[in-house]
Amino acid sequence: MSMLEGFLYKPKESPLHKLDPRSKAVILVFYTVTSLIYLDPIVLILLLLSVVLLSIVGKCVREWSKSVKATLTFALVIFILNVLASPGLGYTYALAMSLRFLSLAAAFSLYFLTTPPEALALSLEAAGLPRDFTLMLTLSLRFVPTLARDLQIVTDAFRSRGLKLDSGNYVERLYNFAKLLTPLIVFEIRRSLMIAEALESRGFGGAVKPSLYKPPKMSLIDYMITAGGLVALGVIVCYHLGFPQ
Amino acid sequence: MTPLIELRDVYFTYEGEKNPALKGINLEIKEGEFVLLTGPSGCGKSTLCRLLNGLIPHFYGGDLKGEVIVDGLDVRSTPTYEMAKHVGMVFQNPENQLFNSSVEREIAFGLESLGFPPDEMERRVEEVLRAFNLVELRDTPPYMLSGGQQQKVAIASIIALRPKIIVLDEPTANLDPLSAEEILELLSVLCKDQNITIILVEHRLEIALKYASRLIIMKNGEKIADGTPRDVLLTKEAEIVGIPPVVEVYKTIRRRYRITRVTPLTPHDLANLIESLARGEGNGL
Ligand SMILES: Nc1ncnc2c1ncn2[C@@H]1O[C@H](COP(=O)(O)OP(=O)(O)OP(=O)(O)O)[C@@H](O)[C@H]1O
Ligand SMILES: [Mg+2]
Repeated sequence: MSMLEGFLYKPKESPLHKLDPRSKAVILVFYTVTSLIYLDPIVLILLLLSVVLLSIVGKCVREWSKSVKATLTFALVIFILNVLASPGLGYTYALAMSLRFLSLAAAFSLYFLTTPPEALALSLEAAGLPRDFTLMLTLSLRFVPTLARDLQIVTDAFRSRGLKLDSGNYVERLYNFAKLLTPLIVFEIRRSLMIAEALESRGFGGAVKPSLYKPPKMSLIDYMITAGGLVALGVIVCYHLGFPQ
Repeated sequence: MTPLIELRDVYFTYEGEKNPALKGINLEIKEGEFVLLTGPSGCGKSTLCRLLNGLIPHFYGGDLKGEVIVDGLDVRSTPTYEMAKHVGMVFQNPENQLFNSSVEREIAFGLESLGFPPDEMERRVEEVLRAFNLVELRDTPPYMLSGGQQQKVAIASIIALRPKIIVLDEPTANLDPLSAEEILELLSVLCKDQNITIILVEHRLEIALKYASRLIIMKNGEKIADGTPRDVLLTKEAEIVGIPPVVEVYKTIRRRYRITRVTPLTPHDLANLIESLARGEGNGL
């Protein structure tokens, strides 16, 4: 759970939180591309360090380090697997592979920690994605707590009828938990029908293209970051393809 | 005056069901009426509501017979998103009908869906925020509000589309009595000030009666009583629904002392009636 927490938005006042999701996404693409292109541990460590700096700017070192700590285990597994699977490539290669994973996870975690999902959905819609898609994104996030509560309700109902969920061996418990699924699924299907009904009643799914109330605006800084990010991306890619020569 | 809502011999059977959920419904509702719709569970109230905004037959499939004209539109040939401009729908569970990140976005949602231009949208959102006293809550996520406030936002968000009719399917069922009163009060103001036609499904007659200009009782898919609340409540048909104690008291007095008065709908009415009887006014005493 703590790993997921590292990817959930935390509202805070910071320069990183203020940026438009789109300009931040350009930087994220830059990080992703760079760490996928370069297998040099030095470059990857530099990338990782810059994410550390950014997380300080974004005032979310604590939450961010949680997700990084959780991914550390995976990084270690990747390291060991690489050493075992391709001994010919050496430790540097294995190290680079796990660093690559780590820096990607770190960058994505920071992105989601500082970007409200609804702002993300909104800017995706402003960028031209259809509302069906962005609505799916917001709805699925919006109803996570509801789903958790429904699960609690179903669990309580079964407990009060004597279902044992806290005792017995793993197989028994798993089996008992599976019994919760049927009512829960029925519950959620009914809920989703009600939501769909409400959406339709408010004009959703009409023949016209939906308009946007208060579309997100990019600030000057956003434009500068986007431009800078794109240039940096271009340079990195060209360099990798061996351009200037 | 042609009625705003007109149903002629309407039968509806949900897909895969044997028995019709609506049987031979004839109904005319005029503009500005406040209709209270009640009846035992499963009698077809929600089905009737769904019919009025086109969810039936467009969202819920089935066999629809008869004629349904709402605000001059045939629901059969008018898609639900088009009906949304004429009929606003509020459901029982507020949390299943609010899905936006802030109150103002919630209010704008319908306008967005119907492709309103930004300036018109902004004008209407501001207007509704002010009218519903929601200006301070504009940035609050609706799921953080109390149940009563959520239903208020749900109503506000359909008012933004300026419908002539609002259909509410048990909007107060999840609310405490005080919040429920507030919502009903709000509806009553909309009905009186803006001449919006209200169709309200409600089980708790004692809180809703005083606002209604008309009471309809359904049973097993049929309409079994229809008229002013004061008349309908005295009929035999009304005995299948929870008759408010005030009315029961009046019925007992009426039987025992053989007097007829205007049916009291509130404790206040009843107190006045008893007072006038005590003063020896009228017949029988
Ligand atoms: N989606 C559906 N599919 C099939 N049958 C349905 C559906 N919804 C309702 N029914 C059936 O239609 C009949 C009328 O149901 P409806 O929901 O309209 O009643 P209601 O008066 O709103 O009841 P309640 O007071 O419980 O809300 C019931 O017999 C019900 O089982
Ligand atoms: Mg119902």
